[in-house]
Amino acid sequence: MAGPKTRERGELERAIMTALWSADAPLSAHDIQQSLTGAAPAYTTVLTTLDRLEKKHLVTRIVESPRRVRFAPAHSETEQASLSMHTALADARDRRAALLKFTGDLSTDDLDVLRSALDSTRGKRRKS
Amino acid sequence: MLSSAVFIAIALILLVVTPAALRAGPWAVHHPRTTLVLWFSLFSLGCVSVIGSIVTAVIGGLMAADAPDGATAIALTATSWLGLGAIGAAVGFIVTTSEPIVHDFRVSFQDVVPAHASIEERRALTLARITSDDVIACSLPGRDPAIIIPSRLEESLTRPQLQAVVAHEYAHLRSRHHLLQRVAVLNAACLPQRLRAGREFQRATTLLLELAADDAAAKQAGPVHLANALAVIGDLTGDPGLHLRAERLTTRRWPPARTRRVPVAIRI
Repeated sequence: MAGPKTRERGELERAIMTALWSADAPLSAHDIQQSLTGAAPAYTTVLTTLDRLEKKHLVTRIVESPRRVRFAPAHSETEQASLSMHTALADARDRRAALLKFTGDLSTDDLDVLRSALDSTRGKRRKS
Repeated sequence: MLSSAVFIAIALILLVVTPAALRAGPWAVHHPRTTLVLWFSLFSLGCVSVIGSIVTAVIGGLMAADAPDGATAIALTATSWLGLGAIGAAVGFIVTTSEPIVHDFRVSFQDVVPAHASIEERRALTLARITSDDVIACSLPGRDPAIIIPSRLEESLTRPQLQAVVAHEYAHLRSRHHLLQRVAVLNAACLPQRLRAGREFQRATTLLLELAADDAAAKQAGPVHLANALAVIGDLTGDPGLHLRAERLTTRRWPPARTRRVPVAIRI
């Protein structure tokens, strides 16, 4: 039976990234597991999460030998901070769908509709 | 059987013809909220008519035994089964079509906001300030709603202008605009690609949702501040739509300044 869920989804990813950023050198999965505070996740859970982070291009896998694999952050914490928003909005279609942006991403047709509405209002004002 | 056909005709008119006929025009641009309410009411009525037509067909089938002759009884029974078949096909089609769309809209706070962002838990929402060169504020709907403010945007705007931008995003969250957007996307995906009605409806919904959020923000934070914020961001991004939205705000009358009240949850 699965144990109680101790972390929210995504929280472990953030914790691992924080551990990698605060380390001076690349860390092994075991090192990362040991550095996590609170309820320690299983070793396999850490590996799965690292795999997910690698697919998101947040973590780089450094294979020194088949039994010696280390992980490093793909970007520094500061670089990642500025990339995060941009990537979230520009990279994936799904993010654009999920977020309601201030710009609204209006199409050329939308702009024409807005222009014609404003033109008709100006026309009415001139007449009155 | 006749009543079932009438329901189907009403549904077709409401779901396919109405969005094409009620295109976003000058009136809709000046009354976005009313237009959205009208459109989605008609759309809902269309969906109810589809259900009505199927229920009527099924009831007709159940009453086939009372039919005056054999041919009518067979026709009623066949219509009833066709109705049930249509329900199954429609449910299957909508579920298959909606699955990728629902997935597209599923994004968590952690996916967008970096670990070290300045996070402020407010009543009913989170205000996240992130270090970014972007000038786009955005809202993240869902169980843990959030408004995300990039640092460059905050540096580019005055405090009242930023307040107006946040009020715009809050209007999206409060009015559950993401749900209306999803319905429009799903509707466009379910209708045949040849029909422009679905795409038009989706496109016009996006425009009107932005304008409705502009109006709500202008009433709360002031139309001048919102118009100035739109103009500043328009200059930074080169997006002509933002200047047009700013100009639209100057074409209508607004309640006096003393009636403005920014909700506590988003005061900055």
